Amino acid sequence: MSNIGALSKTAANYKIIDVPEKHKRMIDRHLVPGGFVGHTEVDSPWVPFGDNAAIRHLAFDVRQNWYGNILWIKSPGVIGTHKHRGQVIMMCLEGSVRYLEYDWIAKPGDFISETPGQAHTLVTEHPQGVKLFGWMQGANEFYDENGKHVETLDVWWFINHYETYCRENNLPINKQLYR
Amino acid sequence: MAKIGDTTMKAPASGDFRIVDVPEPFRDIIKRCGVEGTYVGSSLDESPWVPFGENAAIRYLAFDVRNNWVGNILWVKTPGVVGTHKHRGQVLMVCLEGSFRYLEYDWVAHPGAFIHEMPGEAHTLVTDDPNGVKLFGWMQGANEFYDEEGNLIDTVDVWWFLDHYESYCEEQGIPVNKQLYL
Repeated sequence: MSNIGALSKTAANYKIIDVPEKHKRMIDRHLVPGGFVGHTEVDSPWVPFGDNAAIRHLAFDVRQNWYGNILWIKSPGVIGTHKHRGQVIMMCLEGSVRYLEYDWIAKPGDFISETPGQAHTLVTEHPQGVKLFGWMQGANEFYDENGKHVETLDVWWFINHYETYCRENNLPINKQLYR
Repeated sequence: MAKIGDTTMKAPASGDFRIVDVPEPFRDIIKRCGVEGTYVGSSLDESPWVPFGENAAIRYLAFDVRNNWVGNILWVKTPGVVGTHKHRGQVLMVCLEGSFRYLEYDWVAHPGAFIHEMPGEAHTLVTDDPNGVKLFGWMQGANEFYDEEGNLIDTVDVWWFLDHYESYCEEQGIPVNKQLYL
């Protein structure tokens, strides 16, 4: 257990260890590489989302219907009422955000976990709006002011949002976004 | 007529014995990026019984290397034991034939019984049935096997099961069935 936990940098502990692997043959054959999406717009651009927001897509998992992105609302504004059919985890990166339905305000570093069945209306009153990392699963249903169902979004909508923008702007599709 | 979002729906809205064209705004994306589901029939051509020790065999159904899920049928052929093991992930099982129990618990599973195991559970699977047991299982993550003294002997997960399946196929000169790979 002595090497569990952070150690100071030394030549001895700052090297790649050859981890024993009985099934290297299978891993070489079937492993799915993880992804890396750097912070630049070359890696993933801000795609407009309504007149006051943009989404920077990070990951699409078509097997589990997970999608990861950063939502940026640029000035005080609202993302209309929506109901999740899956789980959501979020972290506030910049600015602040709250839901009309709850009594907290998320600031940078705050963690939010949402569960299937929750319906709410996202707002930011911060002059600089909010940047919010989100990892969402499954269907997300949007409702109008009268509680009438308007549209259901899931991984396919998000892929289409990203790819349509890339196509319109002659940007290459980044394969790292696809799990 | 039942509508989507109609909370009075008691059964599926379409009762017709025909394929309904479901509206799909992202058909092209699904076609290009989507992953097809799989079908593994019951014949041994589609997936063989792979020997697992002297008294058991495993018939593989699914390997999910992204989530470390493995689906299979475990067949213990006569009264016997699958040694003590600890799960680091979740397990779903349905008893198909015969019966089995764990030395650690007080129930006996018969055909149709559903068993749901959680990360952290350690137990020893036994069957006292003259015909042993056939058990459908869907398992996630690491499964650690221990000896009689409680020493860790091996950790198996999707890679071990893949190697078990593909090595057997290679030895027998039978093709690997792509339907087993999610």
